[in-house]
Amino acid sequence: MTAGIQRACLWSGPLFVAVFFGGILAAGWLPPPAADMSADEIAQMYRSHVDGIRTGALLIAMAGFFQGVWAALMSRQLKRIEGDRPLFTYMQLGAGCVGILVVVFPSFAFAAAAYDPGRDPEITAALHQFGFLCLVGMGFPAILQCVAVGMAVLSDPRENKVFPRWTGYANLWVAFAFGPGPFILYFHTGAVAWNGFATFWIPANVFGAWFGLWFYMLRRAIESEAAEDAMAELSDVELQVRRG
Amino acid sequence: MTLTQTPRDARSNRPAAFPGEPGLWFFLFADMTLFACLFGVVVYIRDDQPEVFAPSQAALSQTLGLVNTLLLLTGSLLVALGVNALRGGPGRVDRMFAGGIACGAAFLGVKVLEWGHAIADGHTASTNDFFSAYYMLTGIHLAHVTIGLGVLIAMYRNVRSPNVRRNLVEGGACYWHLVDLLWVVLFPLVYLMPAG
Amino acid sequence: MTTALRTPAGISWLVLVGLSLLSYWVGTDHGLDNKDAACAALIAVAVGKVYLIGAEFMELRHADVRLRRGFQVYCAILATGLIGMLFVL
Repeated sequence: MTAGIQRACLWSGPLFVAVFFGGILAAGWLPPPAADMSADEIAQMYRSHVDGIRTGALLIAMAGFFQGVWAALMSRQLKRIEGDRPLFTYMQLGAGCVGILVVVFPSFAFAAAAYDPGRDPEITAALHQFGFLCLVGMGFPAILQCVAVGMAVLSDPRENKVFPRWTGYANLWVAFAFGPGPFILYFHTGAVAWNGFATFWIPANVFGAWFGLWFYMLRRAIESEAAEDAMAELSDVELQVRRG
Repeated sequence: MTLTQTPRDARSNRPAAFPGEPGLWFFLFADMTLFACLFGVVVYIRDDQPEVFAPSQAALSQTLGLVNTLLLLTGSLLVALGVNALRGGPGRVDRMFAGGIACGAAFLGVKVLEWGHAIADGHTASTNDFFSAYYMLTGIHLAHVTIGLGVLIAMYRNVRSPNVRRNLVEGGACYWHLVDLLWVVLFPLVYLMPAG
Repeated sequence: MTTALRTPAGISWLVLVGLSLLSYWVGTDHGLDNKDAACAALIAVAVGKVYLIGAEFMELRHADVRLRRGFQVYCAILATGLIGMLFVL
C-alpha cells in the first residue's frame, strides 16, 4: 500500500472524533444526562429533543465507519514491528473492530427509544440506560487496543523503531485511565456514575488525547515507512545499474 | 555501540540520568496526574458532604491503613537497597527484591481483609459517595500493586540470571516507588483527614 | 541491618516512618483543633513524603534536572491544589 492511501486513512481519526462528538452535541448530551434521572424525566427528555436525539444517534453510528479504518491503519503499522509473526497486530485489530459495536449498539438503543417517544416511560428509560451504560462503560475493547499497542511498541526489536518508546508507555497509561469506566454500573450518582468525574470526564478527555496520540504516532510511522521504501527502491535501482 | 553511547554496565556505580528509560517517566507522571485528580475528588467529597464523610471514615480501620503504609515504605526501602546492592552496595540484590515482593503480597492480604470487613459491615461501593471513592481509589491502587508485584518478580528473576538488565531493574524499581508514593497521599486523605 | 539504615535510603525510610506515625497521631487524636488546619498539615506532610520518595528512592536527586524539576512542579501543584480546595470550597 502506498503512503498516499495511508495518509488518507489517517484522517479517519479526526473524522471519527468530529462525527462522534457532533452526534453527542446534536442530542444535547454534553454534559451527559444525569445517571439518576427517573423514567418520567428520561421520557420527557426524549419527547422534547426527539429530532436532536435521532440525529445524534445517526451520527454516532456513522462514526463507527471511521473506527474500522483507524484500527486497520494501526494494525498495518504494528505489522511492521511484528513482521510475519503478528500477535499484537491481531489483538489490536480485533479489539478495534469490536469497538465499533460499542458505538453502534448504543446509538441504535437511543434510536429505538426516540423512534416512539410516546411509549411507556419505563421502556424508554431502559433503552436509554442500556445505551449509556454501554457507551460510557464498555471500555474493554479500547483498553485491549491500548494494551496491544503498548506491548507491541515496547517489544520493537528494530534499530529504527516504528514508534518512539514513550508512546508505548503512553498507551499503557491510557489503558489505566479507561479502567474506572466499567464500574459505572454500580452507581447512580457521584464521581463514579456515568456522568461522574472519574468515570466520564477523565476518560472522555483521555479519549480525545488518545486520538491525538495515535494521530501523531501513525503520521510519523507512515512517513518513516515511505522513507524506508524510497531507500529500498534506490538501492534496487543502484543494483540494477551496476549489473548493467 | 558508538562512542557517544554510555555502556550499559549493570555494575556502574552511578544512578542513571533517566532511571529506567525516558519513556517510562511519561507513564509515571501521567499516572501521578491521574491520581492527583482522584485525590481532588476525595477532598471535594469531604467539603461537599462532611456529614457523610466523617462517619464513613470512622468505619475504616486507620490502624490497618497505617500497617499498609509501613508495609509499602519498607518494601520501597528494600527495593532501593536492592538497586544499590546491584551497584556494589551491601546486601544481596535478589533477597532485597524478595523482601519487597513479600511486603507487596502482605499489603494485598491486608487490603483484602479490610475490604472483607467493610463489606461484612454493610459498607459497599454503592452505600454513599465516600465509599464509592474509597473502593474506587483503593481498587485502582490495588491494580497498580498487583502489576507492581509482577514487575518485582520479573526484576527478581532477571537479577538471578546472567544477563542483568539495568533498565528493567531501575525502571521497575521506580514503578514500585510510584505505587508507594501514591499510597502515601491516599492514606491520610482517605483514612486520617478529619471532617467537621 | 544497621548498615542498611545508615544509607540515604535507610535514613529516608526512618523519616518517612516517623512522619507516617505523626500523621496517624494527628488524624486519630485530632492533635489540632482547627479541622481544616489539621487537614492542611496532613496534606503538606504527605506531599513532603512524596518528595522524599522521589528524591531518595527514585533517585531523582541524581537524575536529569528536567526530571527533577518536573517532579518538584508536580509536588507544588499537588500541595497547593489540595490545600487550596480545602479552604476555597
